[in-house]
Amino acid sequence: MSVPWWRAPVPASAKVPSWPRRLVVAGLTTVPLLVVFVLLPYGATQYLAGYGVTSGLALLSISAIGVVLTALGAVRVAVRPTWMYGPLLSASALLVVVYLLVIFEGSTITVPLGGGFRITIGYGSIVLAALTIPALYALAGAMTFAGDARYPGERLRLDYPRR
Amino acid sequence: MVASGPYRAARRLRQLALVAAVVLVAFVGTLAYSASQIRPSSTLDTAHEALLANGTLVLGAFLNISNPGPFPVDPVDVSASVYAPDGTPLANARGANVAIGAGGTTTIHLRLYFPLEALRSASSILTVSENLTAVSLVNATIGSLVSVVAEYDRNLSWGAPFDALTVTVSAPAPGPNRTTVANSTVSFTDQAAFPIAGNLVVTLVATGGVACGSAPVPAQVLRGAAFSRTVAVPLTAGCDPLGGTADISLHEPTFVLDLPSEPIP
Repeated sequence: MSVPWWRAPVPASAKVPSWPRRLVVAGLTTVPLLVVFVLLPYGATQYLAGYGVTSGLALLSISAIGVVLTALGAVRVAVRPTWMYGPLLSASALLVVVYLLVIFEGSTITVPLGGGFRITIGYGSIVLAALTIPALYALAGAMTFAGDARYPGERLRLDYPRR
Repeated sequence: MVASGPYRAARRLRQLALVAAVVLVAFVGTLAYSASQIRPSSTLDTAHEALLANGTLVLGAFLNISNPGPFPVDPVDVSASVYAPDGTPLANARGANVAIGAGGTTTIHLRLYFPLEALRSASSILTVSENLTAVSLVNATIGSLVSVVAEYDRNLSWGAPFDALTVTVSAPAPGPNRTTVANSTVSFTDQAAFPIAGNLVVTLVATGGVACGSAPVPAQVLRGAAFSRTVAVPLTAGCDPLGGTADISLHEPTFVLDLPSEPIP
């Protein structure tokens, strides 16, 4: 009886970290992700608001999606040696697209400079340009999944080479 | 295809995405720096201030914008509005769309047209020198990606053409040919940036709103000069303007400009 591709054995030339080790790394990964996706937009917005700088960002939505993105990122690290890595990479990338679109909706910032001078900056085009980044990640996730299905276990030789 | 082909390609895509992210962040950083270097400044174009024959006052301003940064600012759309102290809009102007290349400078000439005849709701600015509010709007796109709307509110020192206008009316007295006249002294200072040339017509109105009489006062007043002249206004029989108002209007060949009424004690 043949083994299904998603349960292919680890090649001898690869050394996959143990689950506890991957969970620790996943836990540590949440810190930078939380900073980038939740704390940075929230903190920066609150900090700037103290100086009268207002933005149109929907902070609640951004924070909620940011928390989910952080969780997905951590899970992705934990399951990296498995077939779920590719789909999770694509799912995270698509959620980043949603995250960026929410930012796009409120992509203006108004800065009062004193003396009756204020500037409103619209950065929506930059946010739209940034969509190429998650699009590339989504494609990478799909290709990873395709590779895992076509050549089970082969990716592990590259990601976790035995030294 | 080698066994690791798809995954190697996926890894290349991830690396490409990382490079794209770094390039984007670097671009945004440079763009922000470039935008912070843009310096607008404005000067009033007093040489072209004038009162046109149709009763429209023209004010001019030069807006200089320097863009020392590495990104072009294109297009730049400038508009300006002037408001009376009570918020009444007085004038609007829009500059032609221009583009400022990287490291370039441009000067935009704005001409503000005040249709004085239409200023009835804010006619106090004809007789009171005060600060008007000028709002300038600069709409620009930097590096084709970032739109910037700069709004600048500033006080515009306004010199009233009939500053401190007063009309002193004496008690009715006998005039020539058995008429009754009231000597009326009109005084003001032309604080505007243009001279006044025309006829001031003084009309004395009794408390009931009935016009008792009127008389013209020729006025040739240079910029900054004071004006004071007394004219005998012939009154209709039995009409006493004391307690009423003195209505003054400037009569030019092509328009009539009503000034705020002055109460007669």
